[in-house]
Amino acid sequence: MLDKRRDSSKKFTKTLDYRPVPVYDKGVLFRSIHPLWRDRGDRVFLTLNYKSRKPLCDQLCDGVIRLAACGGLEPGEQLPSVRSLAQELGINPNTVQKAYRILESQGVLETVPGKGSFLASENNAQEQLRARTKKTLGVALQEALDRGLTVEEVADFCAEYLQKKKKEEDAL
Amino acid sequence: MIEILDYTKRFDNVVALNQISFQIQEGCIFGLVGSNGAGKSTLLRSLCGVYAADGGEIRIDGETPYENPRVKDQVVFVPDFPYYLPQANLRTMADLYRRVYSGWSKDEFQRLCSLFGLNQKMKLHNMSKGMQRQAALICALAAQPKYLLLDEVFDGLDPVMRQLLKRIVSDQVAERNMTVVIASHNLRELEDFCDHVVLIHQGGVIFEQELDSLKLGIHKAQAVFHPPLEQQQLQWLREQLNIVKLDTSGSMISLVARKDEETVEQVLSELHPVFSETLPLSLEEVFISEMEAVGYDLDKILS
Repeated sequence: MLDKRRDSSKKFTKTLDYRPVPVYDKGVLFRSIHPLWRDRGDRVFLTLNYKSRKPLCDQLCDGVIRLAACGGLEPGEQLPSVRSLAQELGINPNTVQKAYRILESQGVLETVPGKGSFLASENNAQEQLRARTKKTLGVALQEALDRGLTVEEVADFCAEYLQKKKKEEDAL
Repeated sequence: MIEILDYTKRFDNVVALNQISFQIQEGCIFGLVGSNGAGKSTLLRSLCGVYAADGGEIRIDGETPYENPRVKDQVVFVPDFPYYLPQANLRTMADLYRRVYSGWSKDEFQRLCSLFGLNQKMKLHNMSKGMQRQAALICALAAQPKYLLLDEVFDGLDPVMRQLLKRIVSDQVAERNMTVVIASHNLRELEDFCDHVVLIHQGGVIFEQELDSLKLGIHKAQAVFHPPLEQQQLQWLREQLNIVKLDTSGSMISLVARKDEETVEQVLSELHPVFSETLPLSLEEVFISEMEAVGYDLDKILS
């Protein structure tokens, strides 16, 4: 009579698209919930902040743009499929789909039917990031003024700060 | 697609669902939210063909689910309190599901048992409540239905299992275009997972909307005015901003408005506030605001 006792340490793996998928043992996740592209040296690429009120879709778009702007994603590089990204992050695939569509309409991604989504070779991620950064700066300045700082105080503070930074740079 | 058309369900004198109508598209993850006793479970049971209509109809892929094995083959319902055959274990339940659902996958069943770490031979009534819930989910997911109806299932799972469940469901939705309808009280959970929500109260629909547009279309704001606003200014605000809630406390006002952020900021700035701040609402806050607007609020319950 064969011993039919199941090997309790047996792990099941399944490949989705081009990457291996998390391996579970008795329900314990081998790796933490958010890292993407683990085979690239455990760098965390896209993290989602569930506590922030910002919609997940927007967070994904921002994440991809930031990656593209800083070189974490290279032009022509393939992004994970909707399915694998949704599965990886445990979020609604429609959210990922929406994010990819928005990025495509902005010219950041190119979708090849049957193959996947790729970072567009001429994407304006850099410019987008710069525009957004300026907007954030504007909001911060406005808040400072709203809270009672005068225009002179704000201007002086900025000038001091930038001067200090320049000195540090020159010293290097 | 699921179509709910003027659907009414009565139990003796109680009208549990009163002429409700909305649609659920395929591949959607649909959140069913409501106060206790609102009719969520009744609706789910109506969708899976347990209840017959007293008025109106329900159509799943064009046919009514009641006494319709063809439709029922594609719909699996997971109740909040799982029921198992006495003395059954996972193997027995798997055997039953295999005979009932044409989409049953033995491989998927094995994979899920291993992922969740459950013993297939252990009697289900000897398992903890949480494990019984997991077992119910394993059977439901292994049946690979087109429509998966979940009645408050996340609430009984620990955080790791919850995340695992979300991943598996995400995967099936992406791969097979499965439609999921989740009834839950845990709005924080639903918020991150659903793409549409419907709010039900006392058998009627308060609203049904895509989650993103819902959140873009309602905001809370706080503003300080020196001197404090007059009555007609407040009235003007009410009209301009489709106000859900407005409270004043001295020179400060706080409000919830069914408008986008830009409109709220712009209207407020026309009254020249000393300070103003506009924020989006969490799904929980939307729920509470909308429920207060229909009179179901803490003050009434506590008084």
